[in-house]
Amino acid sequence: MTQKALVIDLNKCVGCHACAVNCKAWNTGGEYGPLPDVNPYGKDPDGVWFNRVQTYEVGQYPDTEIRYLPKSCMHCKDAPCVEVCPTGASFKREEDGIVLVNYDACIGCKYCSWACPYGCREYDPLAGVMKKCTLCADRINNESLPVNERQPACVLACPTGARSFGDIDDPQSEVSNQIKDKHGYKLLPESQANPSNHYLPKRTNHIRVDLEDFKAKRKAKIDPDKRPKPTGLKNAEDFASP
Amino acid sequence: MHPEMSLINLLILSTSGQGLFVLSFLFRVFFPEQVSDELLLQSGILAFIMQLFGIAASFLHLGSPLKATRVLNKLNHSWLSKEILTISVFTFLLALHLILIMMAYPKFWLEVTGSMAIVASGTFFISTSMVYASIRFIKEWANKYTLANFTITGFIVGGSLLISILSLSANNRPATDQAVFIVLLITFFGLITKLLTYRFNSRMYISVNEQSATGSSEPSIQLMDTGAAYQHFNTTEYHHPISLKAKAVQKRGVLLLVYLTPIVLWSASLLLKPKAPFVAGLSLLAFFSCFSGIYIERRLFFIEANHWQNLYYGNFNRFNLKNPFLTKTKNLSKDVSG
Ligand code: SF4
Ligand code: SF4
Repeated sequence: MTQKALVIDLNKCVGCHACAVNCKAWNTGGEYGPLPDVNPYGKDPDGVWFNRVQTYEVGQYPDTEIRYLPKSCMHCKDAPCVEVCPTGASFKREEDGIVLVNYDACIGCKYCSWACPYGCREYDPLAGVMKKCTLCADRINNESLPVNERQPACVLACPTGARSFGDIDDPQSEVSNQIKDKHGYKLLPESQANPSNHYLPKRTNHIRVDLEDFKAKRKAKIDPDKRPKPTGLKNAEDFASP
Repeated sequence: MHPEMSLINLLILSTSGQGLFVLSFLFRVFFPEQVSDELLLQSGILAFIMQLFGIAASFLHLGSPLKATRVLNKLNHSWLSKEILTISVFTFLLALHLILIMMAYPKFWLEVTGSMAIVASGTFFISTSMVYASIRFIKEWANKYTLANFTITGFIVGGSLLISILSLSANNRPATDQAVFIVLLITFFGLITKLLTYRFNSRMYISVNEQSATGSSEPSIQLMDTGAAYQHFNTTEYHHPISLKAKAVQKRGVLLLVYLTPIVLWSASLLLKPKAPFVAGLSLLAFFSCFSGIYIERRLFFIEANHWQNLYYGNFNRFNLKNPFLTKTKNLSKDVSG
């Protein structure tokens, strides 16, 4: 079996939303789009996004930390959304395990979204059909693209390289090795949906900051008299110094 | 979950209409001298109209209603497919049965078509309940009470309609009293089932939490941003804001309107034996009471459904786990939940 999926390293994710924006940009013009926005500049704006980056605060003040959780369809191995679909519009592609929606067959009953424990389905109110992440099915097999670009748009956009794409059923693949070596885990294991996307756990940052020391150093940096004088600019115009 | 009126109408009209027909048909079979073909025809036509309105309401729920026939594609594994098939088969068999009554066909054929319609109705009650009970991420739905409540309330509202029809037709006092007695028993069962459902929901064990949803072992996890600037499908479809106090009031309203008021009115009609116009008045009052109450009940059925996906959007409602009859609602009423 082949199961294409994403592996997301939460240590590297900085919550920049580049993956979500590039996903929206690609899919709006791609084969599985558009991803319409309803009333984007007015009251009660709404819009279809296949990928959302959520922000959490963990711990108790003052020992808190911000965590980011990029979340899109998990392409579950035992996808409950596929089982319940009355039209067969939702299906799991045999060759690579990607869960897709055939928009021509979808009647917009929304039942599949009820059966998704991850809240990853997005209803398109203009087309009257259900949409969701396709793992960029129109990119990954697209022979008109250079080989290194045959990857999901979110993976290509990530500036920190937090996202990897590959076959998690191939024990030799890079994503499988990442899952093995870095203790990759699945969200909400109680769902028994067997999600394919994995997350590499965030390690807690144990740096301690002495507040008084920090303030003193900051003040010293701001005070122009105490700043170290710039050197090595003899032959250049120095626009940066005060 | 957002209480969608199209689905609420489908559920109420279809189950009540089928309850009405099933009770009328069984009455006709067991008390043939008291229930005429004409009366069966009247209640059958009413049940048929209710099915049509129910089916029409279900179309309003669809994003692409013009492709609706595709809903039968996955009969082998989708309860939604089965629901639509069984309601269609029931409506067809009911129409056939009514036509045969109008054409004065022999009793045998009426009994065959009527019995087949009853079997179709049984499969419909199972399918429509399983559409909800099979969603294992909504524990308020995925339990045996969903089937019990849908079926019993269908028979209570349908039964109240039958009693009203019987009480309005002349010379039907014995049949009315018998129907009142049977529907009273069903309503008692319904009341017990409803109380058990409230108890079940209040004591439910929920195995998921923010830790399992995010994979973080930190004891304190707070969602700061859902990844959207405003509301979207996954926040509006799965969440309906309601205060705990309003929920508790509505739950009491359901008990009063669907169960207690009809029980009192029907008991009065049985015990005090008033004159026919009074019986008709009491019966109609009982019908309006449970018909309005069932709308509140079905809205609450959706509102209380606490989908696991709400964990990702800050809408997971832990207050459901507290019984509103035991909770100090004053302290919690400010919290918006649902
Ligand atoms: S994450 Fe949801 S939409 Fe995606 S395959 Fe799993 S159940 Fe289906
Ligand atoms: S909304 Fe479309 S894909 Fe989802 S269950 Fe209904 S028909 Fe299937």
